Amino acid sequence: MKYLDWQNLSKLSVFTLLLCFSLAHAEFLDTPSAELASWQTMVFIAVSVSFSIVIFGYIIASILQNQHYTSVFKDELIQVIFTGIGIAVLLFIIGVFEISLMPILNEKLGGEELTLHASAQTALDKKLNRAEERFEGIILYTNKLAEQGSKYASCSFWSVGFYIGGCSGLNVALGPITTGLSTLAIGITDLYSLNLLNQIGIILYTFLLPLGIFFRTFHLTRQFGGFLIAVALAFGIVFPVSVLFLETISQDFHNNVLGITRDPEHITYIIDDSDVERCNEFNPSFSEHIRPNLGLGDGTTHGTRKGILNETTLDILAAEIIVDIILFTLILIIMLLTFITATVSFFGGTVDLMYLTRLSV
Amino acid sequence: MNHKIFFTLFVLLFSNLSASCGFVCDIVVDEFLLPTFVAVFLTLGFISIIYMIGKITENPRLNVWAQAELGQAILTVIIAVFILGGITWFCTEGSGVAISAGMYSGGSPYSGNMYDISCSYLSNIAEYSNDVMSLIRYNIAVGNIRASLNEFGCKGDELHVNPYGCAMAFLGGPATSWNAHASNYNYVSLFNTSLNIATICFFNSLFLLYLLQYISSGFLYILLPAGIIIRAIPFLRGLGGALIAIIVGLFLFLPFMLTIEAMIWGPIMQNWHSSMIFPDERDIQNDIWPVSLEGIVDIMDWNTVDDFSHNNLIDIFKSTTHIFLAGVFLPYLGFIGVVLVTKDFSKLLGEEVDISKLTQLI
Repeated sequence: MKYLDWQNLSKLSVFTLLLCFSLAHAEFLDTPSAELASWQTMVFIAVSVSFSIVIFGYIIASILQNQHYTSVFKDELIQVIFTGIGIAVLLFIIGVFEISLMPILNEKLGGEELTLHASAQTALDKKLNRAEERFEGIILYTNKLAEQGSKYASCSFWSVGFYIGGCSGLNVALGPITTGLSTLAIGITDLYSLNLLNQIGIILYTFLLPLGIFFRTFHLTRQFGGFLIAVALAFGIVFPVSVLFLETISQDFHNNVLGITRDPEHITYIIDDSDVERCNEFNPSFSEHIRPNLGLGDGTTHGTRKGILNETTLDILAAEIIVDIILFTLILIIMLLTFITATVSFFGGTVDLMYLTRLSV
Repeated sequence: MNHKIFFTLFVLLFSNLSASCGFVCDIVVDEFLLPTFVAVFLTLGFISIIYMIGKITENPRLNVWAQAELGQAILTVIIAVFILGGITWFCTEGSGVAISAGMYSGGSPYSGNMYDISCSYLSNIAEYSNDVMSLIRYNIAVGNIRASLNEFGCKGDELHVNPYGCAMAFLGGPATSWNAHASNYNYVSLFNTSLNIATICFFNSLFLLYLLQYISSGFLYILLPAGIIIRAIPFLRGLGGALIAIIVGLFLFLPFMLTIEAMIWGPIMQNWHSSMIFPDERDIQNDIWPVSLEGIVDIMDWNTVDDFSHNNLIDIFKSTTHIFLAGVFLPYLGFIGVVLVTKDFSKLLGEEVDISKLTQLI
């Protein structure tokens, strides 16, 4: 244990401070606004304050000649060195990632040269806009479908007559469309949450990382400090990195597996627009079209009339919602929670993952 | 000997703190200081009596027990001093802003001590949630009314025209009825989902607000002295430690985390809320509020208004997202930190309390 004697600890402390000082001046992960202090400087200040507190405690214990507390503060100093080096290593990995991998990711995503957060923001914005376009398409379609489906033909003379919903057969499409609309609405909410969390990620980083380092200095708040560090790193680093990786996977899926265009006009939602508009409430024969569009395998359909229901056209929408939004958000949440749990245990604590996942429900 | 020096030092510190309670915030610190002080002396008196009995009866087990308990009592006093010091600092005017002053110079919408900031922030979130609920309720009402509107006549468009209905309007004959806003029924179901989320956010903000007010009004008077006394009883050390740990978590770290959240999320929420447009009886902006209140009275006007656009709906979802993050997600992220601190303190003071499992009972 000769490496843990006081002289070596002092050298390690100086080394850690120098390491953190260098990182405080590194040019990556810039602050998003002039109002926000440089998070790197705040981290350096937090590490320095932690060192000062522990060294002050050690001096007091030495003056009182209390062996127990001298030993306690020595242990605490090891913890602060551990925190400083741990943070420095993590920041170094982030720096390497930003310098070496970001150009590749930006090229793959077809974007310009952007920083980690800006690139993730662009990817999320694109995703949200795409979902909103889809939503707009469905809304316009639903308005038309519901109005046409509500048409009734009537014939009356004074108080005698009848009425019939000649187009009400169109309403069969409303159920699945509304389900799709609800799912897409949840998806938009999810994506917007991710968008906002990405925006505040760097602010969380500036606030929580220094506080985490400070609180980790003390034995009683070590788990709490570790948790703050984990949350800061999760939202500041892991979150945008995961967004970029998942977006590249999503793009590959669309290009290679689905092989479809993303143009909203190519989606017909069960009943084609032109069929909806053709509905004539005075022509009951129109309802005969509402039967499954079963192909015979040779390009023709059963019977003489073409059915208007086409369930397969929902495939594209379902694939987009599931892959682009639901699966994307789910994997992102799992990655964040797993990272937080692992990081907290790395920094000397435990977080109940089940408890965290209950919050996300 | 060292124990005695430390003990005297901390009792003096404790006395100083009780004398310095004049400048603290709305929490009536002097009201709980006395019971806490009494509890400390009762504990010490109890230990002294046991020690004296041990001496009189020449029972070494009692003496060893009393000496061990003295160490624990000192630890309790240190924690009590820590709590009082923390409260004093948290109650100091500007303490909340001081936390973020070095990190954020953009000017916070909140000022005062940490309890003030936490309460103001939670009140604002509750108010915002209520506004979003009103907004959604208005849309649900409008959607329901519009969806119930049926029109009769000759429905003419480029594909088919029914001239008979128009020609024979007075006598009868074939005609068409249609519902121009029938899709609104489907949108109402979406609004209901958002309304449920907004209601949860509203109640959650109020829950946290009342929790904060509850713990700052009477929590300390009972639980801190009770914790100190109970901790001196050997078999109940875990319970006493848990009570003190809960106070540390809820009284110090909950407002601390809420203050941090208010500093980070508060300005974003305020900007968002100021950009919200609410319906006005006279001047309802048609792009967001397609039906004016006058329109509800004048039914025929509805023929000319636009239907809900996707923007109306997406605005509602985005508003719900804002309040969900502010009212549920971020406070509970902070709450997890509070749970961790409470666990650490309870472990030090007695036995570890598995709060994460206990909270599942709620």
